[in-house]
Amino acid sequence: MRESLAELVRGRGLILGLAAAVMVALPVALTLARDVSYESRIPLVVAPASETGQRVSQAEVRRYAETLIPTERVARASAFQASFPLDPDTVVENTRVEGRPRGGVNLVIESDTPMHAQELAELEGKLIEDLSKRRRDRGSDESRRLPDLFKRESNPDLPAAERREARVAIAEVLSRLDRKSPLLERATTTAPEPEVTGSVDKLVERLPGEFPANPGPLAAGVAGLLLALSLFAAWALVGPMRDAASRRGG
Amino acid sequence: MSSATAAGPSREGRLRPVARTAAAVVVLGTATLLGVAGAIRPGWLLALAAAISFVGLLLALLVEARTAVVLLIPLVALGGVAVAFVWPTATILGAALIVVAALLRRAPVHALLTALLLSAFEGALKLRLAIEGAPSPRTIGALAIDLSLFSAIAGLVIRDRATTLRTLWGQLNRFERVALGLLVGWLAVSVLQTAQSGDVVAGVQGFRLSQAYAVAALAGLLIFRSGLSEERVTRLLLYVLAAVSAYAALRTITGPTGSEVTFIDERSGQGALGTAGRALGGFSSPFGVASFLVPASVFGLVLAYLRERDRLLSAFAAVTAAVGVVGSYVRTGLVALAAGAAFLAAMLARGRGLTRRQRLVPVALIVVLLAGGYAGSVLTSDVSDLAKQRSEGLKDPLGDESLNTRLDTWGDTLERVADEPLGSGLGTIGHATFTGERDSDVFTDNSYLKVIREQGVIVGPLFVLGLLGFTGAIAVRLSRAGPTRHPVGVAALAGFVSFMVLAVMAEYFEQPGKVLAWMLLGIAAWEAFLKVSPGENAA
Repeated sequence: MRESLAELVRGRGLILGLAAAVMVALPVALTLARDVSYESRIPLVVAPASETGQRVSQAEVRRYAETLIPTERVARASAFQASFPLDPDTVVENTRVEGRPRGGVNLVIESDTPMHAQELAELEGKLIEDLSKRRRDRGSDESRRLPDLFKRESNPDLPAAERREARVAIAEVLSRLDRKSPLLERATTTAPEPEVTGSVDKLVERLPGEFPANPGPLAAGVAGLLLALSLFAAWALVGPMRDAASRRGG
Repeated sequence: MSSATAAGPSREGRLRPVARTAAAVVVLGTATLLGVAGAIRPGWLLALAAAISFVGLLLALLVEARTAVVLLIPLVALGGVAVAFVWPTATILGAALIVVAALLRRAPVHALLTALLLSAFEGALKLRLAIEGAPSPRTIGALAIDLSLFSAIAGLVIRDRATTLRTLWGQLNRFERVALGLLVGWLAVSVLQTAQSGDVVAGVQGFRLSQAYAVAALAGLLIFRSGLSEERVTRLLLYVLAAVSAYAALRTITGPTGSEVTFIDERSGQGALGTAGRALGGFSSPFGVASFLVPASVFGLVLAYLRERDRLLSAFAAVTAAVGVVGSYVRTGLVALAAGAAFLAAMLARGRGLTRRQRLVPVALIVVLLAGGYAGSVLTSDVSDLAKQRSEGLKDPLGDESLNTRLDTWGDTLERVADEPLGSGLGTIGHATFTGERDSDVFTDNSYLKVIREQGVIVGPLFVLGLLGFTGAIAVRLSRAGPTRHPVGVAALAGFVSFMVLAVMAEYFEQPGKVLAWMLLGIAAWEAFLKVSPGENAA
């Protein structure tokens, strides 16, 4: 086996070297020519003022939406519910909020394929809506505690310490209700699927199965190199080089 | 003129027209297939052409058809380059298969160990395939690994031409033949039981997951009879174990990535203990890690103790594998490690020509292993509440929730066995019952109960008794021959025994480590029955 490989390298070193270089360079060049990410967006609006009794500026909505994205119920849940393996940190890194000309905000999701971007936009939009509603409901639950707290605070039979405790709790609940979070809703439940751009990506789109993500030049280069090495090994062990080595040896 | 030629056309001459016709049919069929695919969807033409030339090259390498190899290599190179920039992991898997096919006839041990290495990175490969959006990533990954493993085993068997098996049978006494016969009988009946449940697909899947890999024992039996020296083969095997273990230990320190955790939780919910990631190494679950690293660690440990050669390499494999086991939070793994050391102590207790110190060191080793494992778990217990809970389980095993759940499951399983004494059929328990996004709940939490539940009270015991009998027979032979004179056999058997202990707590004969475990049993059998001289046995 060792002789075959040595013979292979001695005899056709230059040609094989060039072939290996092409097998590494071509996949690398093709990945570099591909798009790295695609963007999809889903609009989020604040529920009508009549429903919540609130008027919130676009900047506040944007800030609020940004605080929801890294939460467990959005980032982690998106990663777990997505149909493809995903790191929750990637969800946070690749999501941003931008203002919308007609009010509200757009949740903009960047991902490695058009379908992933669309799926994540729809998923994150829904999770943000759910979380926003949940927080809102929690606020209502808290307000239900107030009558009981007022009763305890004004009950002369209770010890002073307990009444003082109730007074502090009332102040806290009122303060929290004052800072009540807005209720975010999706303006539409479907996010658009970004169009495939670039000639190489359009070619890739024609392959069977889902549109594959760009694996990056490193992975493609390593794969090309390992393929080249395996083919050289096959050539040396079973191909004509084996015959030549055997003839010389025997 | 030779007599064959004089009598008529040679065998080769008679086959030539048949081969030409077959080649013409294959070429025409392929062209038609490609034409149809190209007409339906042009992109498929490229994918199909690459796949056909790849499969063709593998076949050409297997039968050493040199002209076909020369013609197909440029085609595969072209197709491979086209695939590499879309699905690089699929390309790497393809490259590994080409290497295995090329090595198969000339260096079968290298082919087998390449396949073993590939199987120890099954999780990483499947994850990368999924991230890259390759179609059916789990199926493609499993198929490539199975193909490489089974073809490598077939390569060894074909090369041996059943000589070793015949010699082995001749060396066995009556009891040993009965034990081996029980195991072979269990495998044969298992084939029939694939159809028992009525769902043949699940049955075949169940057989593939558990029973099929028992043939890896053949690979272990033949690996030292393939032309390479025992030292060389042992060192190569240790290199593979050290590479897998070192990677697992490294990943214990770095922790799993978010993608790995979500990929595992997609099926089993076993990826995270609260916020603490469990060590995965190159596998797709913490149980997979334990299934491989426990026997690997015990094999390395015993070799490091009994054999001077490659002591550092053996110890490195043992220690790094133990780190991976602790990081996986599989507590039975620690018990199984100690069981492996206990087995060594038992073997040495009766061994002749040993000093008192040589006999006592393995006992001390058990204490060190248990204390080290416990300390490791306690030290890592503060990373999350659940990790702490698992460490508490080591302090009070009887009060541990996980153990109590298992005891309940075993009780339920035995009741079901009584209801269905002939078994529920293969593929009705364990991972073969996976039907949707998450694993089903049809588990017995015990490999032996799983076999009895699926195969019934007549066939199930064939496996349990055959395994115990054959393992015991090997132990007796090695013990009589002197364990210190047969370190590789003792190490391999200790590794297999530790795997058997591990299998008490879950369906480990379905996990990737089963390949290594069965191989170790084969290696132990080779050393006990074929390497040990008759004089040693008589003693």
